[in-house]
Amino acid sequence: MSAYQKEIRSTVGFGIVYVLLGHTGLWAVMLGTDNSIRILGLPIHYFIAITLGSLGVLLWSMVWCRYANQLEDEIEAENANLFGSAEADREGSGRQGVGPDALVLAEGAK
Amino acid sequence: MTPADWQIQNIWLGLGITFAVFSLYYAVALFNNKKTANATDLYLAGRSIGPVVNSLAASSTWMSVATFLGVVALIQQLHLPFVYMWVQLILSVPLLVMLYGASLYRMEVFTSVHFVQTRYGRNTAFLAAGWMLLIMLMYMVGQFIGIAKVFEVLLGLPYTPSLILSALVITGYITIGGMKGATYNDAIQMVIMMIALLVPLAAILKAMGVPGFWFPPLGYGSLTDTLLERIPTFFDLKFEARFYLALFVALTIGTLGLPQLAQRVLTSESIKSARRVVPWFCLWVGLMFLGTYALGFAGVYHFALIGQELTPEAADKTTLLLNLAYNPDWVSAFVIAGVLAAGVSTIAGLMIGVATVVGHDIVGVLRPHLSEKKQLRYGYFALAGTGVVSLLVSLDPPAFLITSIFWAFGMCATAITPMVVLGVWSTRINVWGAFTGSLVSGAIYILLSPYVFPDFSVGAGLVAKLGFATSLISVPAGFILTILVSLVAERMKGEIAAQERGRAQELVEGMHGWAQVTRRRYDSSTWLLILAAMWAPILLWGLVPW
Repeated sequence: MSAYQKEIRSTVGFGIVYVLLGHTGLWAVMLGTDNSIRILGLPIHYFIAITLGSLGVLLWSMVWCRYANQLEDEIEAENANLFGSAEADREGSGRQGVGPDALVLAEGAK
Repeated sequence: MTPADWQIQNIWLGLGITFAVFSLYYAVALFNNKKTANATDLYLAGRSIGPVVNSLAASSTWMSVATFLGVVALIQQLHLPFVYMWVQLILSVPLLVMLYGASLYRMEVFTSVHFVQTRYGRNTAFLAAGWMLLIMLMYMVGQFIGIAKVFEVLLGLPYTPSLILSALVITGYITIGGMKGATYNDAIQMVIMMIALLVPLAAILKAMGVPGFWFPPLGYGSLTDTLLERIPTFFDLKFEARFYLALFVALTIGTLGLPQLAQRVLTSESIKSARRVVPWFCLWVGLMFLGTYALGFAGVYHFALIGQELTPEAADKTTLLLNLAYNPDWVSAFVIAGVLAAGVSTIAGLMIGVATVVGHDIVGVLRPHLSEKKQLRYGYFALAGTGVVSLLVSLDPPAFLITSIFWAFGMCATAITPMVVLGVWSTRINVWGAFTGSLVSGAIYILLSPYVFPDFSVGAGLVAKLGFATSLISVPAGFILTILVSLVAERMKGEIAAQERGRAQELVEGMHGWAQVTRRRYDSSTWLLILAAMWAPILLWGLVPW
């Protein structure tokens, strides 16, 4: 999978999980509530809401941060590969790159 | 219950600690004033802030006077639904950084308005600036009034002189320190807030006989049975599913577009550092929020136990009432320092946000060739001017400016977020779609609110006042209009639209970090149409009477 596809899919995936973690009220509406089921003495739907909305979001953010920064490296690597192969092509053909793409490529190498 | 019940006995203790913390803020501001050499230093702290300090500053900007006072009162009035309303506010910075913060950082823009100007041109930027200034002014006036009320009701000082003095003192230290001073001060203020909330709370819970007092955020479960005996409906959902969906549409989508939070991310030292702000932010904000729920719970428990019904005015002071009941006076004085820290840190972020939009973005468009020295001078004028104008407005605010800040979040979700987020993720969104979507949906939001034409207002009561009912119409309308008008204009405008699309392709691929423009990435219209179709049922549900 290319870094571009990973960027799109991961953004959608991480975004959906973030929303699910922060909006457990909708889960409670669908699943119902029962004050007699407790965790640490608190009704389960309340406990889930406050822990997923704080510690859950924290843990998910740690995963996202690590993934997104790794993806940044992959994008940089794709850029470097592209520039490397373009350089090799130019050296092999003895021609300078032309057109807007070549300009952008040269900008990217600065 | 009278004001004497929530005022600390020793007023000099309260004034002394207030003087001490403001002296500290001025010292930090003066130290950082020497390091401000240009506009990037003044507005973005020279893009030099590490993730821990930046996350503390972002958290501090996010915490307001309401975190200490209003929230606890609202938990008393609304019970569990308010907790659900508050929980999702933690998503603001994570979603902001993920959806557009990192891209804006890479573009080296100063604000979201600066991004809109680069992406869509000056007319759309002026429109975005108008919305953002309105939202930030609503926010800021509320904080100025809140701080003056803290002096009035907690220390017994007269309101108007308190407002003038506190506004001038706050404006002074923010203007002197710029973004760098404000950032370090915000970080210090966040630490003060966490100590002022969590440590006294542990003492309160211990005095109440709670075995889990040593971990206040989750240690109060032993109070549940007694609370349910007195208030059996405390943990009930109370509202229909549409209310909980509106929390996402109005609040989550609204807060991720807030310009003052976006600007915090742009002060980071690198793009990876900007992302590292997110987990740290969630740690600090998560702890504060958990503490707030615990304090609200303890407040409801305490007054239910002694059988006292609080007036809304007294409910606002629950934090102080609990501290005065269970802790010594000096602890209450420190809690007041926490409340003030929450207010001034929010004002700092907003003042710099407003000043950047006015002094950098708008002046930059009107006079693009200013020298560095003049840019800096305009910046200081803009900062001081923002404080003075906000003070003047706060002295006698028009009614629409002091509506709930939740209403302003809905405005942001409607008029700002669609054009910013779609503009980052699609090359097919153009100036015609962004301008029309923002203008029309923003107008719908205002006109259908209960504040303009009450007879045409959508919904009634809380869902109308907080903008939830209107958001279920205006936010889908904003997204759908932005998408459809963009795609239609692309077909109708011919060569002009093709040039615009070509420019967007270069800009959008570049802001995502790609060195080569392929003109294929982020260029599909299919997902835009799917997104518009997904908003349609929400729009229809929003049109059903509440």
